[in-house]
Amino acid sequence: MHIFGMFSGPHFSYSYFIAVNGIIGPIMGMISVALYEKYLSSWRFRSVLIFTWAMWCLGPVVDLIIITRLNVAIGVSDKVMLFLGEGMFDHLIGTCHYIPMASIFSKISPPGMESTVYG
Amino acid sequence: MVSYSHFLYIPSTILTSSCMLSLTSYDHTTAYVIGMTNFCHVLSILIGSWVIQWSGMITVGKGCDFKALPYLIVAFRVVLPLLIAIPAMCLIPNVLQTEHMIDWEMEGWLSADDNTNEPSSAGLSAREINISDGVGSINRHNCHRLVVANEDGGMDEDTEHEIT
Repeated sequence: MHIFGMFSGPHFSYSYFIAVNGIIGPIMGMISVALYEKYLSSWRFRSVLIFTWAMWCLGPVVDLIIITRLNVAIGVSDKVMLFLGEGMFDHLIGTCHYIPMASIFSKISPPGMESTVYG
Repeated sequence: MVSYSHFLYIPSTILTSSCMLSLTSYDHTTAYVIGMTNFCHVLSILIGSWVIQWSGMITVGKGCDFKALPYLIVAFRVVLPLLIAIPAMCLIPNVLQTEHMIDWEMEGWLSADDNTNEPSSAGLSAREINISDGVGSINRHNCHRLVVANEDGGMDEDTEHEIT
């Protein structure tokens, strides 16, 4: 399999990269909040953190697919892979991981010192 | 990604919150935490640069070579975070998200005199508070419940109060 010698790509501009992250990110953030509320809010802290972290560690797999050009081999363009990976998956999992972390911070902040500790 | 920094904030928040009663100790603790953060950040950058160099990748010039990049991604963005973070999460209390994690009353953060959420002033620990209420004395020694002692020295279990 031809990979990485002088691999050409990814075939999208930096402007596209910024635009996709900027537009898709907040939308996926709102969706992930709804999904978290529906499916993960009843879990225990440890379980939900391990789950979201394990999912987050799968995010680089999308980068790996782009680097190895496997997406081209299966007929998916670089722009679509970026949309699915960096745009959707990372923001989805990142928000789901951020919510329990923020909840933990709110619980370990001493009474009356929330702004000092949390800020 | 914000997730890495969260693992730093949890111990640093707990560390600094334990010395809020004294601003001096708070400053020292904050300086210590930030110093350790900067040191480890610089150290990780140096280790990362060394790993890239060690892997044989050529990242500048015309003869770029990224053959080792997929292996580095798998090792340092998938496997290593899993190996480090998953055991670290076992240190987080396995409670429901609706439960409390820290009993601030037992930690001595709630004062008994004004019954507010403000921490005890002047470094006075709420673990050792003696209050005279005219009927008996209220003693609190290393416990989070108040026991009202009658003037004859007897303990009245029914008048046990809890500081809220």
